[in-house]
Amino acid sequence: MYCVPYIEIWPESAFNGSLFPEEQAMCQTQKAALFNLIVVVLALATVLGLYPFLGRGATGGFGVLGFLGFSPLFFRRHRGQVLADERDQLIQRRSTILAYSVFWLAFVASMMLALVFYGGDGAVPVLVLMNALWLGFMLVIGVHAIATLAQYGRGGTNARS
Amino acid sequence: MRDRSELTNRIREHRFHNGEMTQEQLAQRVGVTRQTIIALESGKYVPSLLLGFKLASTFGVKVEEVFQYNGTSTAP
Repeated sequence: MYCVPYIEIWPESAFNGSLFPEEQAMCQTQKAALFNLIVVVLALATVLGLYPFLGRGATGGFGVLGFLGFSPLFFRRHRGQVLADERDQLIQRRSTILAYSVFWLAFVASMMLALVFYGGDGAVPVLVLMNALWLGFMLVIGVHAIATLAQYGRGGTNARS
Repeated sequence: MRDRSELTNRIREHRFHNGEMTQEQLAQRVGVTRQTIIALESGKYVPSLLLGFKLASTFGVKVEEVFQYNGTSTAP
């Protein structure tokens, strides 16, 4: 469809000062999503890794999630830089819908499991509730990050919702 | 019935004809990120109407000269 001069990608990457093919350049939202996913995985790994040694004390590993507070640093605005355009906002909106839909399914499933494990007249331990809270939070952040990265990996989505 | 429309564009060609504009320059002019321009040119993203008009206005042409509708919409 295009003439030969239009097909050259590498010269354009060099002109833009990037060492990588232009398709591999990540935007701020991608970087933040990848960072959030790494933090969630690290937190889960910390808790699971400490559990054989500390038992219930391993729940302190959820403190690793505090690093999520650094994700806004990816959205520091530089002069003339567009942080999030229509495509970024659409991807974020779809990721949020998916994340909270999955959370809702997990929440309903956990309530059903609580009924099975503890019975109708049983009492759910507070520690279980706290762990469920942290796991739910991690589920939302993790699914949101994965959905964001997956959509960017496919080249984005259409503007029409 | 499912819409089998297909949208192609000539953004890269118009960039070349407009002083060999880079993707970054075009992105700044229309207010999007360079990744969005990349996705547009590779046909992986269909822009909003507003962005389509902004792109055409930047190139000084009509929208139809930037985007081409190649499919056929099926009647319900």
